Amino acid sequence: MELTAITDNLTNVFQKTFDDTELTLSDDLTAGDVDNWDSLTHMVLIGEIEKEFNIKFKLKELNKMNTVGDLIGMIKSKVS
Amino acid sequence: MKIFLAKLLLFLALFVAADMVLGMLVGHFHLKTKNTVLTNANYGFVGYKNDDILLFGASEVSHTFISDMITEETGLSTYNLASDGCGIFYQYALLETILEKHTPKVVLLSTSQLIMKELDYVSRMYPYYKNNKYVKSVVDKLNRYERFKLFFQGYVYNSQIIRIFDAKDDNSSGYIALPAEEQNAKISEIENLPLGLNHDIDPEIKAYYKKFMDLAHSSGVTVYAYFPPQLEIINPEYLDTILTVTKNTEAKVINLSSDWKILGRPELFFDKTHLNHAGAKVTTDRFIKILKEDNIY
Amino acid sequence: MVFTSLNFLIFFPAVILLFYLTPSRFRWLTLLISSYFFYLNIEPVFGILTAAITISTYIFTRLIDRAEKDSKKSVLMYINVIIILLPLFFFKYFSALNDGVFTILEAYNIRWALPKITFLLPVGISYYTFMAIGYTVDVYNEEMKAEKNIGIVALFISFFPLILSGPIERATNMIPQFKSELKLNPSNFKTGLQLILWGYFMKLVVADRLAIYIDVVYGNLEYHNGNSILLASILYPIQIYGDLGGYSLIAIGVSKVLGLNVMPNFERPFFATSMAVFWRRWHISLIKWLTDYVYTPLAFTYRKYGIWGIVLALMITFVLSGIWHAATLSFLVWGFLQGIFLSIEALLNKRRSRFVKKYKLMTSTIYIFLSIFFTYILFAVSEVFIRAETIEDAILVFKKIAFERGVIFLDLTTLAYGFIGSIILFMSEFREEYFPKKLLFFKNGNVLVRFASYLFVSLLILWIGILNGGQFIYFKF
Repeated sequence: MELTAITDNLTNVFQKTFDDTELTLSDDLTAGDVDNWDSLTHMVLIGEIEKEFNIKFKLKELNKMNTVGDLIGMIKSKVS
Repeated sequence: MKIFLAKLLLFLALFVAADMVLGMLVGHFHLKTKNTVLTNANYGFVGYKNDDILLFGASEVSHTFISDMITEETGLSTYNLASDGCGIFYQYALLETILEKHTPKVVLLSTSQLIMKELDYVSRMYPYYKNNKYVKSVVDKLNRYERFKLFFQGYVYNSQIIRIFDAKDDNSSGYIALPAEEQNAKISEIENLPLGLNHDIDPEIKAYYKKFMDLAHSSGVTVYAYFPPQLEIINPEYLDTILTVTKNTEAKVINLSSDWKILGRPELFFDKTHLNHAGAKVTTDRFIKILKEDNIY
Repeated sequence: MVFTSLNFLIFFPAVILLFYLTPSRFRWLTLLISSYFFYLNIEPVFGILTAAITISTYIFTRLIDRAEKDSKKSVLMYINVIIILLPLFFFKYFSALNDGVFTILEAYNIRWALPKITFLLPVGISYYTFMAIGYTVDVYNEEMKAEKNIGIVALFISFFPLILSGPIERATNMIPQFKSELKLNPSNFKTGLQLILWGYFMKLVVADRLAIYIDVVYGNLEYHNGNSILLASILYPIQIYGDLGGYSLIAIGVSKVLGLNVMPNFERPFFATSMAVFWRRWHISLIKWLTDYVYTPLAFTYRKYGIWGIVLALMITFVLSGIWHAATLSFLVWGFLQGIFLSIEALLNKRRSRFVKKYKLMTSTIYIFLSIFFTYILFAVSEVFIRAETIEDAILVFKKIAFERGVIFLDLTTLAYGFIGSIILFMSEFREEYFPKKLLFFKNGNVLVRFASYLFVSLLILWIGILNGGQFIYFKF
């Protein structure tokens, strides 16, 4: 899957999960930058991402994804 | 690093200085305070005026013996030295202080002193620690590190500031009247008084109690051991212990613990352990009669 | 030897002196010796327990590193975690279990001569147990490599400022620091001493003073009326904050003086606008630990259930946090309540966000004030279960508050001092929360302002702090 496609789909998931139609993603975006993105909603996000891209994360991998950029990289490695 | 240490030392010096200045200020007001509780301590340890009849104990004494009434009836000046919550270590140091200046004719000590265990009251003596060797001796014996802490005036007067300026001035020669309370409605409903506990008596407290009695007696004072009335059935074992302790001293016992002329009248009580002003009148009157019988006056 | 004892005031400078005299490469060793000295001074026998957990953790983490297959690593991790948890279960929960068994047997009229054994809880056990578990899991998760020097591992587990009551630190933060060249420098001294001073203020002037009033009321629940109980219950969170928060600051300050950076444990919790925010500001190290090692794995496992998976994970996590404190029904209820509060918030979160956005309430003072007030009340309600100690008493408290009025019992002197301390604490935090860089006192640029502030706080502690003893409440956890 192309990087731009990943980013677009991911943006949709973010916007839906955090109820913010204007949310845009950047590589260095983190949880602190988005309203309502905390440990409570993080898992919901992860679940939605897995559904959207038809992939499965491992628990160990969660700690390695600190920014959206990390997230995109991880998704790409699983999709290809 | 050296600069930091210098600053630290400077701060510590300022701290000690400020503490001393505050101490002098607060100490000055402490001696002049009209606060009900602190007045008696000041009178006993500093301003004592050679009274003839002295009453020692805690709240069960300070709210019971009407000093001015005794003075009027007997012609002997009386002061109620009792102070809320104060136990035997306080009383002993106080007695020593007084005997150094003068020998009173009569001293009364409450037997409840034997079961007062909370040592917080010792801090009431701290303001006199520096200049009073008896206070010093007792305090140092109780805790060998107190002398270092007492270097700090804030420790001496800890938590006393508000009290010093809280002047209620309802203290007449040491006696503090308690009003007849609505709570008595509850007390007068009690038909069967509960059984009192068999209290533990700390050996060190017992030793000091005896020391107190012996010291007073050997100075030529007539000593009374006062067993206060309480709205409970006195536990026989406890009564026995107290009477035995007192028997080994030369004190005469005034035992009101099972006196139904008082216990049967709940309207004389403020709460389970204290008499109100009406009860104080009755008890003081009783005490005056005893003094007459014993030819004190 | 608690922080508020005379012994500690001698011990700590002695450690600094020793620290200073030791070459920086070996300062970790000085700390290790001091820590064991500190601990053995309190509970000699349990030094063995700490050592045992250290040895086990050291061996297993190194084995995990060496193992190649993930399945083997995972088994090793679980074994060590179980080993570490055994003493905790034994001391904390054995008596509860034993009582439970006793009660059940009695109900069936079986008088089995099972001795009712009461064990003295080893001080600090809940804290270093969690730290050791965290370290094990971190090695498994490849967050860090297993430490080869057993002395450093021993120091991590027994480090004296943290051992009594936290903050619950991470090996990833502490071990690299312990291995580095530890230095004493004026800046650390200054910051550390500031934290220590404020910590003592919170504990001795605020917490211990309020405790006097609250203890009298809660110690005689049958006698006091609803109004007095209400006041005591409203004040109790402040007491706990002064107590645990103050103690944490002392721990963090002591560590700072020794050149070590320990995570904050509290961040102005009573300015939280929701329970979710509250739990990011209250007992932060505990919640972070539970989040990383309990909540996240659980929520991850249940993520296919969406928001209900979150709720389940929350409930389990917070019930566990309750039991971590003590194996009593009251703490179970407390944990359960926290879970409920957070679950409800999580479920209503989207609706609330939309509401706030629609009416632009983010900047509304009234909205913020009401949120803070409501959050405080929720927390105070849950704390009743803790202070009342039994469920029956807690119910009595709520019943009296709701139905029994009367003349409120006030010890004016105690409450006056308590009020002074609380107001100063509140104003300091208010300033820090809403005007962070303004009106600084300890951090003011002018040395005269700083000195005056230090003097003011020190004198407050000396003159109106509770100086005659007083163990702090979180001690035996």
